[in-house]
Order: sequence, then C-alpha cells, then structure tokens
Amino acid sequence: MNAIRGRVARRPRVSRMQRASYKWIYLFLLPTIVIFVLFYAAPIVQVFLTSFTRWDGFTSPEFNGLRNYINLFTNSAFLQSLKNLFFWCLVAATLHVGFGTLVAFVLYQKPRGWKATRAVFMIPNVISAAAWAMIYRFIFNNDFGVLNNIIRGVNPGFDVQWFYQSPWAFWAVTLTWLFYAVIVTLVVLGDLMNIPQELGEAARLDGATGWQFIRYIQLPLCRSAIGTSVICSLTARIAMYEQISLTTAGGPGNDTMSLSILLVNGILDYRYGYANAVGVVMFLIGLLILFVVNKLFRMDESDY
Amino acid sequence: MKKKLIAGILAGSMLAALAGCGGGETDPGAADSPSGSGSGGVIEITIPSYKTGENVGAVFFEPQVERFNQLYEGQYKINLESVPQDGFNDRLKQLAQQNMLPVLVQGGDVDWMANIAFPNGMAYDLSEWLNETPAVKDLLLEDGLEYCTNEDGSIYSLPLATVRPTGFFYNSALWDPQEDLSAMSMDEFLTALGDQKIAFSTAENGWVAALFLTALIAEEDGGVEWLQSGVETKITDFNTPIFINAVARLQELLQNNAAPNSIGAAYADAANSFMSNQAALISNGPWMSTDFAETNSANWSNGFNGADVRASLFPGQVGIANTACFGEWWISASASEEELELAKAFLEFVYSPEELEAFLLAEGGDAPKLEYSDGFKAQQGETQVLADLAADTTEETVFAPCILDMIPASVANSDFGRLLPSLADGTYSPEEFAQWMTDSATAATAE
Repeated sequence: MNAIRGRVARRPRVSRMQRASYKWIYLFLLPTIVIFVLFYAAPIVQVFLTSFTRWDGFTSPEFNGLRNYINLFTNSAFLQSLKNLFFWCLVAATLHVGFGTLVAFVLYQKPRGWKATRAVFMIPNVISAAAWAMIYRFIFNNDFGVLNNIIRGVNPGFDVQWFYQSPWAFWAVTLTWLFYAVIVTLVVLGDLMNIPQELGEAARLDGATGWQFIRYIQLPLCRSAIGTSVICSLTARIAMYEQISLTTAGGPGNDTMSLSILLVNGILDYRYGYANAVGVVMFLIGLLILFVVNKLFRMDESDY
Repeated sequence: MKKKLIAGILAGSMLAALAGCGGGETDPGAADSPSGSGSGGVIEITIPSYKTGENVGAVFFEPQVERFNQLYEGQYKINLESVPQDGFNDRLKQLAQQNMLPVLVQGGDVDWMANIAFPNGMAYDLSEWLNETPAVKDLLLEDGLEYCTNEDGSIYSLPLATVRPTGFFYNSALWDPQEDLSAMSMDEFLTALGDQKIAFSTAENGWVAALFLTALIAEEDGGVEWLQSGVETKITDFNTPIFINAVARLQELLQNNAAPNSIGAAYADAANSFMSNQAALISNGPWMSTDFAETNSANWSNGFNGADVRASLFPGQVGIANTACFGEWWISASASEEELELAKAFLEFVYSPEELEAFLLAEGGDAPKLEYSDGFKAQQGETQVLADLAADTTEETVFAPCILDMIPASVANSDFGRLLPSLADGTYSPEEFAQWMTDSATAATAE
C-alpha cells in the first residue's frame, strides 16, 4: 500500500500552464492528423477493404472473400515477382548500401575534389528514373549501345540483348539503380560528421589503427544511418516501377516482373480489387522490412 | 495573450488552407473544368485530345477544329487541351471518376467504354439525333452501327463512316516487286520478299509485330473468324493451331527478316529503321503516309526518300480493320442543352462529305457509303501510298481486327510485347508462346 502510495506520489504533476499548452499542441497537431487521416490512413484502409472485393473502380465493390489473394498466389508472375524482390532486396542491402557507405567513408576523408565528387554523385538523383531508364536502353542496346561496342572491342562476336534476354535482363535492370546510392552516402556522411572528435583522439592515443577506428568506432556509430539507408533502399525496391516498365516491362517472360507492374496490370484490366490485393502485399512486405531492419540494426537504441 | 492570438491565427490558417485544398464539388460546366460554357453568346467548350502538337493525328485534327470554329464564329467555339496519347485513356477515366467528362469525348479505352462508361450512364444517347440527321446516319458503316446499337435501341458512340484498313509500306528503292502483293498468298509473298528486312517493334505493345501476326492469323483457315470472336468476348485461349501456326511464321520472320534493331525496338525505332533504309518494309496504318511527305524529310536519313514508298494490303487481300467497333466520338451525359447543341453541330460537321473527303485525303481510307466528288478522286491519286491502299480496298477485301484489340488490355499492352524477344531468340517455341498468352489472359480475366 505504501509502495502504491509512493508511486502515486511520484507521478509527475502536470501544471496548469502545461495543461494549457497541450491545447495548443493538439491544435497545431490537428492539420497533420487531418492530412494523415485523409491522405494516408483512409486510402490504406480502403485498399485493405477493397482487396477483398471484386471492383472495377467505377461501380460498387462486391465482396468476394479471398478470391483476389487466391488468384494472386496462384499466379506464376506474382511468385516470380516475389523472388525478384527478394534478390533485389539482397543486392540493395549489400552492394547498393555498401557502395553508398564506402563512398561516404571516402568523402569523409575529404580527399582533393571531394565536394565536386559529391555533387557529381548527386546528379543521377536529380534526373528522373524514367529518363535514366531511357538512357539505359541506349547504353544496353545490342546494335549501337556503348556497353556492347566496348565489349566488341575485345570480343567481336559478342551479341547480347541485355534487356531482352535471359538471364541478363534481371542484371541489366539491377544496374539501372545499383550504383546510384547518393542518399545512402549523404545519410551515412551526416552521421560520420557528427561523431565527436574526442573519440578519434582517444582512439589514436590508445594506438588504434585506421581500420580499427573505422571497424570499432565509426561503423558502429553509423549503425542507425546505415539501417535507415537499408530501409530506404529496400522500400524503394518494393515501389520500383519506372526502371522496369520503361525497359523490360517485366520481361523477358517474367524475368524482371515486379509487384508494381502486376498492380498496374490489374488496373489496366479494371480489376481494382486484385490490384489492391497486390498493394496490400506490398504494404505488408514494407512493414516486415521495417520490423526486421529495426531489429537487426537496433534502430531504437541510442548510439551515445 | 498576444502569443495565444498569433498561435490561434496560425492554426486557423492551416486548417483553412487544408479545407481549401479539399475543395468542394465542382460544376462540370465550370470554366476551369475540361468543358465549360463561355459568356457573350458564344458557346465554348474545352476538350482533351491527343491529336495535338506533335501527334501524327494533329496534322488533320487541329485544322479541322479550327475550320469548325471559323464556320461557327460567334456561335460555337472548341478549345483543345493537349494530352499525350499514352496517357489519354487514363485522363478520360480520371475525369469520369471526378464526374468531369468533357462534353465531346474522343474515344477512350474500348473496354472501359463498353463495360464502365456506357452502362453507367456517362454517355448521351445519340439515337434520336441520328434519326433526325439522315445526312450523318446514311454514311455510317453497317457493322459499326449494328455494334454501337444497344438492345434498347440507344447509341452512345457515334459509329464510324470510314474504314482505314492497315496494310504495309515498302520502300521500292530497296524492293520493287512488280506483282500485286495483296493478291498473293502469304507463302508467295514471303518467297517474293526473300531476305529483305522488315522493321518490327517488339517492345512496348509490339505494335508492328502484332499487325504482321494479325495478317498471318487471318491467312490461316478460320483465322478471321477466330479474331472476330474477340469482338464480343476477349480471346483467352491461344492454344489453337490457328494462333500457333501464325506465331511459328512470325518467329521465322523475326529470326530471318527482322531489321537489325528490331529486338527491343519501340514503334519509333521501327519507324526510324524504315525511314533510314535499314528495312524495306513496315506494317502500319495509312496515317503513317504523312511521314513520307516531303514536309517530314527532316526525319529521313541514309538516303531514304518518301517518294519511293508504296503501300499494299496484306497477302490474301487482308486489311486490318475492325468495322464492328465504337466510333471516335461520344457525348457526355452531363452536357447542358447548349453544350449538346454545339456537340451535335460538331459531329455533323465532322461527318459532312467535305470533311470526310478531307480526312481521307489526309489520312487515307475509304468511306463506303459516301459518293466521292470528282475533285476528291483526282486528289486521292496524288498521294501514292493512299492511292495504293485505295486501289487494294475492294469488295474482295477481307477485314480482320487487330489481335491486340481482341485480347485483354494488360496482355495487349504488356504481356504480348514482353515475350516477343524470347520468341525471336528461340527461347520460347510457338506452342510455349501460345501457352504463355493463354496463362496471361486467363490470369487477367480471373474473377
């Protein structure tokens, strides 16, 4: 009883002034909450609900149970797109984020021309994905593409249709985004620059080598930034559309099929319920990725 | 107190801004909508159209609208809102969802029109107006009128008065067969073709390859009927010898006669291939004739000369055209009386003999129920390719609908083109291609 009393007694008291300020806090939060409900929560709920319906987008949806999901999970294109997503996520989490992190560590050393390099590295991000896709169609063109012409300099008989031939198409599509990791670089570089100088000085006094400093101090302290980069990269893979649609359209066969292409195809056929079922799967995969990466990178723990 | 007042004003402004973003119901006739009535006695509307700017259809359509505006100056005026062709159908669907369809609607996705727009009362019934306007009704194609007339007698889409059978163009500087190509069988034609190159597109929806495939299907016994079966219900079963045999021949053509850049080529690449002397032949509709006019010579290269281009329907006198289809125009059910007046005047103008003849001269084709003027007959011969096609279009012509119009939309827009490269490189056999199409179409139509 005393303990309870003690706990009650320890509860922080809210002053009248604080209570008054809550009113303003809620008032200022209201627009954000309204925006969230109108433009995020409501559409998401609608997507979930209509994924259990037969809906052409114009007439009233008719409940059809799990039919859309059954159709989805028995569609070979869907299964292939899940497989592709898994491999793309693997490549993104390792090579893509790894490359961006490496560039961040190089730029952190501020070598000669690092600012120019950072600006140049940024350029692909200010060009639309659609424009890049078109550029890559030219780069990978078998007849006049730069890549094959270089290869033919060494191997005159070389003949590969990168975007239209198995198994090259998957890797050709992958190359359209693989090395454009400036977001990763900027996020990691930001964290690197925030590491207190004292830590470096202390490590040097203790005799740490350059590699040891990176391995045991800088990398662990960039954990959250790298985790954030992994989340951004993986969710971008789920939503990736232009790079595929404008190059292979998911082909050859289903080699580069993605959930976003399936979703658009569902809309083209006026199967909004089915398309929304694809959307739900994309949403759930996104949540799963958030959960796993948060756990793996201990994102909720403070570095300092 | 002052702080509270400022905070209150700021929060209030944010909410007001939000409410402003949300907006209220919009009057379909309001000035900022795609359609709108003007003031000062002139009935004015704005309609979205893809036949604007650089689009090949703009060459005829924009001046046509201008002619209408001049003819009815002070009474009616039509403004065009330019919409890219690729996104045009989506734009119409978007406007329909917002209940903001333009007064005059220029076509749209056929499936959407048949299954969504018309059954849901989005279109104005033209039947009464047609009965009162025999000058238009008498020119309409029988098949089209039958197709557009619903069981209750209502007509939402104005049927076509012209048919523009698609064949192919060939460069007589590279290949100059003396025989009547459309009168040949497909075997004879392919023998005559030898190792001449054909410009194919195998990316996007594989349009040029699809036209050739349609011709090959039409050549098979029962092929035309098989294609026409898709007019009512989309084709979902491709495991038939008609389709498999045609695909086998297409595969041979892709492997032996395709222009060098055909694999992965979009339509623009195929056209470029033809207009740079890299291919002797390309299949496309008569609207491509404008590309061969001297005014378009900036797009020619490698010694190509548009004057060398000739045209023909496909062997077996096959012309790709679907006469049992919706027309180009319909009127929104939400149009006001004044807007209806304008819309009807425009349709009557477009279907006037003078405008039909002008259209045929510009884009080719035939208006079977129109009695041509002498001036038209004389002028038609001036554009070689249109004269060639007109000469080939006779009572013996077999009209076959394009395969892409007879299959589910996602299969036509994406799945078909996606597998063409694999068919070309032999990864897929014709049977596997047919099975792939069947699986895709079945998945696309699963309830």
